[in-house]
Amino acid sequence: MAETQAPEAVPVTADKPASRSTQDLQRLAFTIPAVLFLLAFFLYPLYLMVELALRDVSMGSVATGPNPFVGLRNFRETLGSRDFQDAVPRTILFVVATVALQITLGVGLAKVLNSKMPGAQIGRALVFFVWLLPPVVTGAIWKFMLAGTRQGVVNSLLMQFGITDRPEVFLVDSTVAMIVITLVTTWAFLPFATIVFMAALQNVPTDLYEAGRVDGAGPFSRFWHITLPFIRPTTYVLTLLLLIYSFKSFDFIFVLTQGGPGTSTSTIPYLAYVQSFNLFDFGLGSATSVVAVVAALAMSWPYLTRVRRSEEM
Amino acid sequence: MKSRPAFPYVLFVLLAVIATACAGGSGEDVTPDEGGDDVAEEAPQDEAEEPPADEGETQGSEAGCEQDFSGTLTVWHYYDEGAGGLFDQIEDWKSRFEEAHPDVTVDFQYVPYGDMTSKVTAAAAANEGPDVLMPTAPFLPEIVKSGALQPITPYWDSFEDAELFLQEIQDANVIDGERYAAQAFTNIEGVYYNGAILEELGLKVPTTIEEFESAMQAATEAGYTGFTTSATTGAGGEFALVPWLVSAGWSYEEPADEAAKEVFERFDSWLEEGYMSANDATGFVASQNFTTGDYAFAQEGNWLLGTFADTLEFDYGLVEFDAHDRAVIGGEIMGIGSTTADPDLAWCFIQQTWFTEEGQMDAIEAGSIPLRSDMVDSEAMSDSPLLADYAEIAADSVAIPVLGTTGQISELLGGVFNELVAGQISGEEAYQRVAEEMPPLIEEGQDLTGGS
Repeated sequence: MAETQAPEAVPVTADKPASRSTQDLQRLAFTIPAVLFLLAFFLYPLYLMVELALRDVSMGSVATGPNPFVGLRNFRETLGSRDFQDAVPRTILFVVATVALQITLGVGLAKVLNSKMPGAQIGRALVFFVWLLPPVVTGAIWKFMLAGTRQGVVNSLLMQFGITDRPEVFLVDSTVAMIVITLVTTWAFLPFATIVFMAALQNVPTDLYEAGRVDGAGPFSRFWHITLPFIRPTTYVLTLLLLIYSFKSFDFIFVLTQGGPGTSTSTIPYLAYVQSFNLFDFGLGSATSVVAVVAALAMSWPYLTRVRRSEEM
Repeated sequence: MKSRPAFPYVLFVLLAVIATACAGGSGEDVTPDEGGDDVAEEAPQDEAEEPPADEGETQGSEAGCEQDFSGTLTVWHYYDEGAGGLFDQIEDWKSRFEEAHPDVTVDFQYVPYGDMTSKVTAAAAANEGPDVLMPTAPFLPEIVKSGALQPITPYWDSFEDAELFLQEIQDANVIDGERYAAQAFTNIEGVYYNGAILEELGLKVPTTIEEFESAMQAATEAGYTGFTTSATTGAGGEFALVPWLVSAGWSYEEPADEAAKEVFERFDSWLEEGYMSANDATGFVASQNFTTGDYAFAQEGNWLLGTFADTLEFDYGLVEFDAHDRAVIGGEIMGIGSTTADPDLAWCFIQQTWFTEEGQMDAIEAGSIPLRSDMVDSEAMSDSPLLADYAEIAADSVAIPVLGTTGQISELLGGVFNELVAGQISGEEAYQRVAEEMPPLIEEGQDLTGGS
């Protein structure tokens, strides 16, 4: 036992603990880079956005001024505009549908790819590959596939199999275009959901499944009573992240429809882009962005509350 | 450990930021608001856009290229490789100028077309930017307001060949008595025909709208698509729509003119008859469609002449008819960046690169329409009959008016055209939208220094 004791030769003074105030200063010093980063890249842009939202800022005046203070005029204008009012239900529907599809398909795909079935490894590689594609590339690929001409991949197949005589135009009907955007967004973020669920599924003890089988539980029952409780915390976090990703999704709308026909596929963030960079009204665009940020915070609120509660327990 | 919810803190920070902003805490440019939400009176904007006094005084006298220039000259352009236009000329321009001025390096920097205006403004806000700018013409008022361009009035006034360039087009670059840019060549849209389809169907090239519609009908019945255009939202759609409107007698000044109704209803009927596809509303598809050989007619720009010459394997030409005998003057304008260290060098580059006969020949070679009057009748132009046809349309075309609401007008016209072609609204509805929504925008846009 003697050899496990600490050597006596170590000088006691070398490890003298720092005083409490020194420790506090050290801790503070370590936080400075993070605080500076947050100030420079989060709070300052946020401040600028809110300030622009309260001013009349055209593209020309943004640099040279004057940008007169207009109070809440931009908020009133955007909240009262038909484009915004149309965009709200559209955005909600889009976000809910996208997240629901990503979560349900993600769990299913993760279960399949976590299994030992043939081809699962190739499937996993493909999922990673899709996740690595830049959104603009993904959008462009889908636009080419869905082109409403004979050259469009989907139309070419439909016509080859005699399903249609003439090319179908998918992106000009508001409803169909919105469905296409929803599906493409789902397709693009599905790998992320799948990868996260694959990791979560690794934590489910396999002996529980064995026990379930012995007790006569079917696949649905095993999923409901064993898998789901284990992946529930992951699902909460993932749902929140997917809500935010889907809400601020811009690339696919820009590439596939540019918000059209007209503005019928514009979501709130896309509308903010149009107001700022097509209409050159930075004040109005910023007001819409502020509303979007507040909406995103409101969406995050249930999750933040839940995390706090779980920390308290 | 007891913890507290985060949301109230986030909300507090937001409210604090709003409160700070409400207090007018952003420096001298703030005009305090004394009346709650009402718009405060705007302060005069007179100092921001003036060039430095010492430079302004010397500009006129040193407008030529006789000086020994040195340094790097940065030029922002939006020419896409492979998309037609003057991309292939960039290397020639660079080497030509560097040869004439051995101590100068020309650095052409690509900025995507759609990002040019916002990038120029962002650069101006940071007091940075290129020496030479090539933005698109209709957005000049916004760019001038941003302070990104400095006046070229003294340079232009002392430019010996200035009178050779069509004044009507050049004067579109004058704002509040100052000239901010010059235009050396232009781009417009026309209607191409596919000669192979017309020949197969035993048809002549149409010369009237009735013949045009008959040809589209025949082509459609034969399994082709009659017509294609690019009815995108925004400025792209506006550029495609307005030629039909102005050819029918409509104008920006009289946007409620009944002539527009006929045009919108015509497109409505073409869609209903299947002469064109709603797919034209999904993006810049016309040139791509036309190259397939399955479309009898396509509305496209002269900048594709070079590309079409290289790629099309069928006979093609330009339809000359009343329904599309005018267009919108488009293309890039050239100006001097407000932050340039050497405006004389920048002007020398602009002048020698684009406004000389050689520069105009480059434009012709690339399929752009030169604006120098002694080039319009040149041998090079007569060697390119299609370009000559385009030049005829250009001679009677209109410039988008210099207004402070350019963006809103483009969104309205492009958006309406996009929805019409997508089949979301009728011709009647399209007309009503333009007739009702455009006049206030025109009125609001008269104030070039205010508004948005």
